[in-house]
Amino acid sequence: MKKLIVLLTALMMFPLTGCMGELTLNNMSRDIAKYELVQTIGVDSYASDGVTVSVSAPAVGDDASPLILTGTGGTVIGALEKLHNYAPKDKIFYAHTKNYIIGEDAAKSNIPGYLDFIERDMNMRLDTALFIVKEGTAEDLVTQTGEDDTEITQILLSMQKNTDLLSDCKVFTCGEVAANLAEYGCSLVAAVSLIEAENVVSGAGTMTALPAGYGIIKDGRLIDYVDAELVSGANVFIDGGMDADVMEIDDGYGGVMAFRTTLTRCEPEPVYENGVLQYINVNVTLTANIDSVSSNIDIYDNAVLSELESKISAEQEKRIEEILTFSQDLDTDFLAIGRRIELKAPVKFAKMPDKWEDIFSETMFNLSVDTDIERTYDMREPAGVSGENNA
Amino acid sequence: MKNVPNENAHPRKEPKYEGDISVNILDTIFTDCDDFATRKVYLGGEENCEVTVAFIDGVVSGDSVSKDIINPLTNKLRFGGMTAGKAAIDLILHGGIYSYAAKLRDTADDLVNDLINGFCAIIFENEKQAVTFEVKTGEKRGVSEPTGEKILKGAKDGFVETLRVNTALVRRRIKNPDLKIKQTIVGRQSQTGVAVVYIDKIANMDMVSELEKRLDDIDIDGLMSTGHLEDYIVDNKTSPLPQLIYTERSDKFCINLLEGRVGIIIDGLPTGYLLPGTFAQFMKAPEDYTEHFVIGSAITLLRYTCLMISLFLPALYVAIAMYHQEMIPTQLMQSIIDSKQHVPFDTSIEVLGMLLAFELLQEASVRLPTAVGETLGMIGALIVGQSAVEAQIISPLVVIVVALAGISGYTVTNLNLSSSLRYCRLLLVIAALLGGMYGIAVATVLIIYHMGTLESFGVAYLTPFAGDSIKTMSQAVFRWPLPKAKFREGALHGENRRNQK
Repeated sequence: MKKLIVLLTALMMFPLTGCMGELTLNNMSRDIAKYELVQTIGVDSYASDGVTVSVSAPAVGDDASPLILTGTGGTVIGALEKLHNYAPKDKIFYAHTKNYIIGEDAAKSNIPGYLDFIERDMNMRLDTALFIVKEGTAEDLVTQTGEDDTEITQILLSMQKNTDLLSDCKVFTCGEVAANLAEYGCSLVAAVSLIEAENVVSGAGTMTALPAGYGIIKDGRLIDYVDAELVSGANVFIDGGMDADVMEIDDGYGGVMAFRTTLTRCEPEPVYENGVLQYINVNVTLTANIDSVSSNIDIYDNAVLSELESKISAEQEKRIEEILTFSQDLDTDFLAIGRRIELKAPVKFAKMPDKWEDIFSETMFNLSVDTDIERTYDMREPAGVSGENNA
Repeated sequence: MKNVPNENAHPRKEPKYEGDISVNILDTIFTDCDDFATRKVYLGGEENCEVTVAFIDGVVSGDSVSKDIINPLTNKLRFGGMTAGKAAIDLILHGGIYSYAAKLRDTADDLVNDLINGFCAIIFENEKQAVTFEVKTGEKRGVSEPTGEKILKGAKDGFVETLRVNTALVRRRIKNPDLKIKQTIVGRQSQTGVAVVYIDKIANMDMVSELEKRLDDIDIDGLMSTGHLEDYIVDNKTSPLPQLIYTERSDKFCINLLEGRVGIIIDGLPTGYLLPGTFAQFMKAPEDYTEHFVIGSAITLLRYTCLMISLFLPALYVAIAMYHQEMIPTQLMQSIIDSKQHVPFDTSIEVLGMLLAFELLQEASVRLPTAVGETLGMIGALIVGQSAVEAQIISPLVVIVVALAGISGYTVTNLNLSSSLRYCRLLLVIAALLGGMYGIAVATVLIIYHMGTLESFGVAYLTPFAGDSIKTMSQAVFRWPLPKAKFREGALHGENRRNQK
């Protein structure tokens, strides 16, 4: 009993030590309501070796406004710590950051330096989406987009959900980009540009962000962009193919037809002769459905369908050729073709007399695109039946 | 003056009342007992032959005393010409009086015991002997449906407050002389009858002996409530976890006897106890065996899930809201922040306050009559729930968390375990607010460690979860079709484990 009394007395002394100001022993604890939930962090270069950090926290509650802050510091974390003082709540909390944006100037100087913060900070996640601002700063993107109750986070999250369907661009995470840079020395990063919202939505008066292709990172710096018109060709190589795209083709009968490509798969096949890489066969298969017909073309005629398939193949081939040429002109294998042919025959790849980086720009590519129109979406087409009469 | 306890008052004095049988000694013993009654009766109606009939009014049936004892006792044809001596006693013991049970008593101690247990005595002063007959009053509560363990499919007869009725309920279900009912007395003053019930050749006899020993060791004034027994015979008296299974259902009691458990029935209490009490047994409900085995298993699994929710949900909420905000989905975090924006209290204060309010409501409603209790529940729900949220004193999510934990706790069928859970829940919340997930982990380890050290009559408390085969473990949660369950629980170490062909 005496022991129990001593123990209880000792326990009751705890509050007197000052360690339990908030009923906790651990001063790392902070109530959830005291946090500003930052979901987007933008970084720009500042002065000679400083950083400007802009953060955005979506509005929480019906009458609330988003919190947008900008500050400077020597490092990203240093600038973030300063921002705590300006937040209306106790602390800004960035463990739920969804988007990490790097301004163009910063991207041209030292991307690994800005990714280092993501890799080291225990609150940050490697699956945070990474963006580069084309011809702009992250600060502008974070501070100028949105209206009273929306901000850049919602816009970028919405963009991420739609990119797979619209094939505007694929969004890479910080972890993926860091791994690509470490392994291949180059990577693609989704690029966004800041534009007037009224150019996109009639009557809107503020700024918004739109996909702007890909930024090409080589040796830790932004060297160029894959422009929007080349994105479709690039997407064929990223993650093994593309799940959705819309292709508009002149049908040759005075109209334009729209096709929804549903599965585009790309398989680069290296051809070696005496251990020397001769050329790479790029075999692409895609399936397409007819989405829109504007002329009197007879889409039930097999000959017409074959002709359309050829046109789709030619268009796709052209796109791929353009992106390959662009990649070779830059002498940067940002499409990771080298990695894929290495996986096809690792020993042969390793024993090549010349390094892939040295021969990439001169490598021959034989393109072959095979298109199959699967659906016409016509009522006369029975579901689940294919054949000459059911095209 | 300081009240110093008399060390010599215990242990129990045997025999309690010394001396030969006489009316005078009875009058002395029952001084100031107005319900004690005696009546002089002429044996065979002859004045020179007087005996005394003694009984305790209210405990015995007056009608039976008149018709079955005094009427034949005064019958001249039966007892005429006899003296109040050996011959009369012999005739009485051999059917002269209409009673199914007659006992010859030579000592005042035995006689007093019989009288207080509802016997009527015929005292032969000259012989210093008495013959006693059981003529207990028939006024007792009838067998009815248990209020605490209702089921839709199954028997409706529950235990009542009368020991003999309860043993009869058991005997009616298990019509076998192997069903043993050993009765003993507990309580110096109350003299409460306690029956140890088991099935010979199925139960573990070491367990029966140990139980009998522990019952014999109880030396208390009265056995009036369940706690009086539980506190004295369980292995770990300081543990808040229940170690004896209690049931109001005679069918559940019998099922457990057939499984090899040992039962206890106490006079005056409408519950039966079963031992050993293991954690898995407390999680079972009678419905598990009235439903299809798939449904029964799913319900048991749901009950375990609810147990986890009830135990950990408030603590996890506190840990996440105060320490590990990065663990939850962003939208959920936004919702939590939104709901707490205007609440002036920390999460820890909110949760502790709500848990306290929940306990208050529960305690208050249990103590009140049903109608008032329901009203209190409704008022409490309105005040603690809706009004407090609208007044922005607590956040709606905390109400949901505490309510969900509370409701989940009610799925645990055993009231004692449910009560223990409430305190473990509070312990975990305190651990969470002190150390977040680390605190919860430490508290959980301590709880499991404590459970791991517990034993009930030689059987590990965590049986079959600790140190047994996967198959046996799974049977604690998943019920197989009964034709496949051919063996009784091995941990009970019964003499005969096979229960069917």
